Amino acid sequence: MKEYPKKENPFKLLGQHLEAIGTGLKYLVKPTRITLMYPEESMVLPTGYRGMIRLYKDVCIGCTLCAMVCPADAMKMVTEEGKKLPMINYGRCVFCGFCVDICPVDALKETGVHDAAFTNRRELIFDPDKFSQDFDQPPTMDKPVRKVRAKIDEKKGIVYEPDD
Amino acid sequence: MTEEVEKILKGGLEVEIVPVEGELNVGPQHPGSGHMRIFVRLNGDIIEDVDLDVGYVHRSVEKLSENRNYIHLIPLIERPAILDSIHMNMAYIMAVEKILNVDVPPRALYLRSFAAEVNRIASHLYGMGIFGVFMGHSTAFMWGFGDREVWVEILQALTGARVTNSYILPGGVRRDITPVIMEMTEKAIKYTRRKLNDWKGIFVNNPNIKARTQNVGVMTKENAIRWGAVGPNLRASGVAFDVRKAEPYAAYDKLDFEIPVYKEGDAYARTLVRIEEIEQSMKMLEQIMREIPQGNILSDRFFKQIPPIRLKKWWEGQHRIVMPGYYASFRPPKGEAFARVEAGRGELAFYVISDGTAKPYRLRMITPSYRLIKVFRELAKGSRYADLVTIYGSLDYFPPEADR
Repeated sequence: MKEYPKKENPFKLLGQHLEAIGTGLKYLVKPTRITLMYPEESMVLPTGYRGMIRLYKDVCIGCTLCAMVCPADAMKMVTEEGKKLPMINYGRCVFCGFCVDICPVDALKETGVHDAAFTNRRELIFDPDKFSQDFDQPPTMDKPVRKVRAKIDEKKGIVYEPDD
Repeated sequence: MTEEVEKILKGGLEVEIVPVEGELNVGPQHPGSGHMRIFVRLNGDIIEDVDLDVGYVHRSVEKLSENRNYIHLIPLIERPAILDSIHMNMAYIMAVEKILNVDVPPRALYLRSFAAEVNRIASHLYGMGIFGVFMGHSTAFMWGFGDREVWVEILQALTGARVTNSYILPGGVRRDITPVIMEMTEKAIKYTRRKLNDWKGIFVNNPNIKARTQNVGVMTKENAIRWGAVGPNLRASGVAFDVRKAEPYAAYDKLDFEIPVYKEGDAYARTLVRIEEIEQSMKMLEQIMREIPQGNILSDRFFKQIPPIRLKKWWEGQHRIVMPGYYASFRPPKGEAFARVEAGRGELAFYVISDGTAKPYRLRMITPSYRLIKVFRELAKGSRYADLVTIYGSLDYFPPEADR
């Protein structure tokens, strides 16, 4: 069991005041900022990131396992021309990735997209046709977006390196 | 000249008398209260009584669990404490595993400990950041959240999500550690060790912080036990209790670590315990990376059920486990199980009763923050009003976790 020192002499306290100010000054001169300048800069997410999900319609065998394992009832099965296919409601999806993991034929895939925006709730429901396309939103900015990748650095914590 | 000014000039000054006793609402809109209302009864500057109006972020996890499959509960039970989701997930899965009677391979146990310790560091840094800004030290707030990001990045690389990881499954874990993640962790440990020195310079050893935290919210050893304090708050009061030592789970029986215990029981001691726990966690991470055994990360019972084509693609190719169809709605045998882990804020317990169907008959979840409600109330009595936020921040109380 430990105890911290109770009565400290005033000189030590003064030293600690100076140390605190000194540490602050150190970071004033050499700041370690990790701010990502979104949307001018956009992060490329690592492989395996559980982003938005995409369906491969031709691969799907309609086994309904994805709909069964979905914890949020986001995935539902619909019958299209006699074939059962999943559709997803992104208003409910919690991005747990269970459906991708359980699909026996790998008809579902995690994409690295996570920053989508919709104007109304109906757009959040993806029918099998929309679900089986790569989700791509037109850029809202005129300037090109700088793609960066986060890396852990021993000195600065996180640094963003341009993605090639 | 108006009447009032005339009165003042004549000397008949009337001062509005401020009542000595009064009541004050702190919150619920988060001005340093979290998602709850702190109803403070004041006598001058001294707090006479505190009533905690909790429940603003109640999610009804226990009732909802009676209507969901076991696998569907994984994302739900980690929502109450998103900062600490690995621990929530692990305790629940440990209870389910006891009912299912599954053996977990050693590599998966090490990976559970790895994820849990990374999560503990992130959770403590978050708690210290909040504590700092409660006392007006906004540098600590920025640093806490910034340094936490490094560890969240590791969790993201390991599990695929920043906070709601859903990483642990009955029988194992979902993804294997890669050399890239190990390298990231080594760098993160070096960075955090360096940064903790600066933390000590600007925050922990800062005489301003010491003046605000020492002898504030003192919880004696007897009181800590009587009020049912858990976790770092209990250890700061001189009780050497840690579930990782008392009832080792995951890989903790094979790891060398000390549990920091302080005698004083005040807000400063609680901060010191958290700082030292971060150091211990990093030590454990290094040991895990050194000693992690090779092997499978999912119990053979479930591993055999994965189709061979998928195994080749995912396990051999990307070191990821894919779920066999069994998980979609498995029915554990009749039985009940209790499991506890040491979460970031203290002891977390799950009690699951299975009646043989695909849904639990009853799930009880006892979170560390829930036990802090009583502690906070008792500690605040008799202290000064200015110390309310210090006591609150030093306890690292997390309202959603308490409300469940």
